[in-house]
Amino acid sequence: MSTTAISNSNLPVHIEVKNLVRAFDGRRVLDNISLKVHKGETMVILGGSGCGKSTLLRHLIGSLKPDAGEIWLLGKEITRMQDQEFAEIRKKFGMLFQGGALLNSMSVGENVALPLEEHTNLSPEIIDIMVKMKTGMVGLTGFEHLMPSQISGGMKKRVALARAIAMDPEIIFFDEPTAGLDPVMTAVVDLLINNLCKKLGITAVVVTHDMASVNRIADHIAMIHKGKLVFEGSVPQIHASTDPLVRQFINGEADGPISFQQSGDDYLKSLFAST
Amino acid sequence: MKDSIDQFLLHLGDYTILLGQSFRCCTVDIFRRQGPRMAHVLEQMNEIGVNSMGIVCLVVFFVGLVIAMQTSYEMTKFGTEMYVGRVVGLTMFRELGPLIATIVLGGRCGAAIAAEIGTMKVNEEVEALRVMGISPIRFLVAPRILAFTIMAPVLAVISDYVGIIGGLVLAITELHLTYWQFVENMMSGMIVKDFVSGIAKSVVFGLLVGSIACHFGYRTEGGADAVGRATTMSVVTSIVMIIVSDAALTAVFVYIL
Amino acid sequence: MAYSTRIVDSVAILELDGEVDLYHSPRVREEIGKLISKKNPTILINFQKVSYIDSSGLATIIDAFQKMRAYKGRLALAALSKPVLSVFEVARLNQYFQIFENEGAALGALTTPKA
Repeated sequence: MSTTAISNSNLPVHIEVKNLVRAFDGRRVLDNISLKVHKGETMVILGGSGCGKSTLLRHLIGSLKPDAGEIWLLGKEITRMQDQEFAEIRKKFGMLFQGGALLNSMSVGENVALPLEEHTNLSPEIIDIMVKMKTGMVGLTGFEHLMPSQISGGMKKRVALARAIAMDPEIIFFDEPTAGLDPVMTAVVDLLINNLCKKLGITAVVVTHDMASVNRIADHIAMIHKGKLVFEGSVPQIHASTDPLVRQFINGEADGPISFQQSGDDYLKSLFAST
Repeated sequence: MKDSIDQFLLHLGDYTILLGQSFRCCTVDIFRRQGPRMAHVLEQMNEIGVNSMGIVCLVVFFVGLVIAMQTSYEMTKFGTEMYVGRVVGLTMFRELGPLIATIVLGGRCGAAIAAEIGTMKVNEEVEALRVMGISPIRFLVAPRILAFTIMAPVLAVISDYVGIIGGLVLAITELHLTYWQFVENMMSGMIVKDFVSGIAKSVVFGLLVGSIACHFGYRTEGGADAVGRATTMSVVTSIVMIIVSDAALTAVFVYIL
Repeated sequence: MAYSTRIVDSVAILELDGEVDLYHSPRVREEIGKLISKKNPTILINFQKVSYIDSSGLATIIDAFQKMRAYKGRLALAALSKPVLSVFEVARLNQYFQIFENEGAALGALTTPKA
């Protein structure tokens, strides 16, 4: 367990999680998590599959409600908020889903335009220009008329990113942005995250288990294991960490505190058990 | 047993909420400029109404033909085959026109909608809509239910007439009745209520099919198998509910109104 | 969001005040639209009091630029604060628009007859 002084602490806090607890069927999936993300910072939530990092993200976007604890987004507590009040906050953040979650019945351009059409009074000409700007930012100029089924997985993620930034959000949440992409496309998506967030000053929360990405994009890392926060710090700090749990994860070793349950005698027993 | 009752009650609860939210979206929310988008409703009306017309006509034409054959088989024994117009007309208007049209709709469009919304649910598209602050009820569910409710009676009327044409074809070719004999006989025994009650039923059937399809689609969790299950459940439940509500409504029209 | 328009030496100056965001851009577009419909040959938008602009604001200016090009008008921008200028830079629009330090410099450049 290591906690460190947070950089940029003079900037306003965009996201704050206080003592978040959530249990499913009596098992604590999130166990007393506290986090702070400052404006413009890219926070990476790191952890193995099933460690609770996606659950944490679902809480941050308001899809799940915690059993205890608070979540503050842009200075407002959201866990006890009415739907209508939360709708206002929602317009200020974007979310990139793991599979992109583009609407398959709409073209790339229509997908990007959707939040603008729904939430603003902008005229179609302006929305059209904005769609071109956003698709341009993710390097997909000229693809607006294609349907999601006609483009590759990496392109879908980029379109989803363009849609996530359509409303010029102050915060973007990324759920495994590089999962299922080849190394080059992974680098491209990481570059886009860096470019957009750093240049536009967007606060980002990235859930991932990809260490290569972490090294490229993270300002700040929170590692979760079995629902508990086990590390918090910067990229150099995580590499310097002596915590065996952290070391095992960043080096990708099978042996260590994160145990793989090798089937022992019970495996043989189950094979030869008399029925 | 207890589990299936629990399941049923859960479904009923979710269904009621979905129906309530959609109703609200199509009524109160319109005045707050939060109603379903016209373009979406029209698109669905086209898909549900216009594109289903061919298959509905095909099915109901043969149903009319079969009714005429079956009844004339018995009627010719008594020399009453000139009444075939009345039999076909009444069964079509009061019962089979709306019933066949909505059952075909349930199989064709209900299944498609359950699968579509179910797939969107599985692919996180519904969740993405919600995170973007776009109500899935307003965006997906309400336009579909509304389109069903509007188009079911339209198809029912078409279905009524095509079914009668089916009967007419048989009457002319096999029973050697003239067009006028058939039509006159049909009209002589018909009152406005026969027509109106059929249309009223079709509105209820349309509402049921549309909302049941959306309900099962919207409740889908998991993967491809769940989408398949949702589709099947949607079709089965729609058909059962159409028949059950048909019995109830027919009782109301026959004994009460 | 407040606006004022005035004409100096045949240059129509639109002074914006506040934030040009998703909710205020339609008003800005309306104001620019009024000037464009009169086919003003030169329009200068003064950003002195603009603290924030988002992509809808950029799109509004691009839209105006396109419309003015139809009658060979000139669109210029002046007095962009650092955060506002950086938004233009991220979208690489600073290469495309005539951007001036302040209103005076802009007027000086725009009113001298073209060589």
